[in-house]
Amino acid sequence: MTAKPPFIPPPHFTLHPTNLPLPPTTPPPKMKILTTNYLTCALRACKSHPSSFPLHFRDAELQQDSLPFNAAFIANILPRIDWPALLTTATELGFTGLPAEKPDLLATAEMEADEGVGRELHRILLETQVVEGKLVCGNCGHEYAIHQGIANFLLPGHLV
Amino acid sequence: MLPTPTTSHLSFDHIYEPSEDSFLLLDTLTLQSPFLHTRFPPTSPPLVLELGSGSGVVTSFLTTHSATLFGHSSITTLSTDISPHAPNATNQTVAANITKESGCFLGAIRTDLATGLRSGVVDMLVFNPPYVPTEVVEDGNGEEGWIGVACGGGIDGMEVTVRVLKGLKEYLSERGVAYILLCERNKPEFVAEQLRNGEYGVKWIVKKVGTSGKKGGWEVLGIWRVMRW
Ligand SMILES: C[S@@+](CC[C@H](N)C(=O)[O-])C[C@H]1O[C@@H](n2cnc3c(N)ncnc32)[C@H](O)[C@@H]1O
Ligand SMILES: [Zn+2]
Repeated sequence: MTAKPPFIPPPHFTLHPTNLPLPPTTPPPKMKILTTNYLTCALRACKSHPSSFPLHFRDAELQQDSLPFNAAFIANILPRIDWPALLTTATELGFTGLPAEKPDLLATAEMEADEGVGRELHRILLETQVVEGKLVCGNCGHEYAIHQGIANFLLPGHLV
Repeated sequence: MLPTPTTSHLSFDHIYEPSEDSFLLLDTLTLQSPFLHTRFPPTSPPLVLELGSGSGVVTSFLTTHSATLFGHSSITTLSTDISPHAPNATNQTVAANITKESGCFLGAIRTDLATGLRSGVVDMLVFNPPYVPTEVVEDGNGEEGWIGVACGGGIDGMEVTVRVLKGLKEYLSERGVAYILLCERNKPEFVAEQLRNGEYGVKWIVKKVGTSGKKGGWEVLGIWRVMRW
């Protein structure tokens, strides 16, 4: 194949400093729970099947961090969340503080309240990461491994 | 211009090192920011997907500079790559460059293109594909390992990209926008015409929104924006 030409950075990029990185202790991020709102089974035949969404967590090992509360993010992201799917996922992972119906656009003041839905969403969507476990298709039973926070959706050759 | 994310924590034996093509993508996305502001307001924030994230320089750039590029930090970003080395590299690069004002990075997934993603959820797709013409598209077992997978695009350098173009109508939401890099040998004008006249299932609106000069032994590269309206 054609050899890659030597790397010559465009001038305006080399002129600029790179971002000041956070302290080097910042651990690599891992899969967030909201990701499952956008995932389904990799098998074509399952994709149109309602039971392939959401995928179900099995043996999930979670990491809980503490992050500053961001009311604007929660209010903005809420409309685009598939609530029933999030509810299923959250319940499977042991988060039981969400209402059955998607709350109306939350007022910031309401969210700032200590024990509101906003706080629970913050905990689930931003502060929780999935370190290890599996995502399982409710239709075909195929398991997708999550290892070190990275989900693997590559199918073995005979399934493609 | 916005600062380029640092990737100095990575070694580039198995991962594509950010290069002219990556930087053209960053430049172009910066210039697209007025467009991105109007298309993706905070009240309806986008899900951004990068295919083939490699080092993570592009995903990290979009996540970290969300406030400048989109006008708010409510974007969510997701990346995929087929290489076993890339997702971890992407995670590390996101971590090394993230700030309090960053968008929300959902994770790096190992998969073939967008396999495993639900239909119609992607609002913005970014792809710097393997675009160099080669005899075959490699699988990681070739002489050049995963670097061969990062560079070699098969016939016309288009074999991987064509699969993405065919998938666009499935990946993208109604307002979805794709930014795809093509080189001269990919026959970009011809590809754009095919996209426009419906050969990929939708009469896409296509515009070249970024181009590199011819320099340093690199052929001319272009960034093409594809959307329904
Ligand atoms: C030219 S590199 C771009 C890397 C990075 N996005 C950048 O701009 O520097 C192409 C990337 O696509 C990945 N890739 C190649 N084929 C793929 C496929 N079928 N699915 C997902 N990723 C793929 C490669 O592993 C590589 O990381
Ligand atoms: Zn399935």
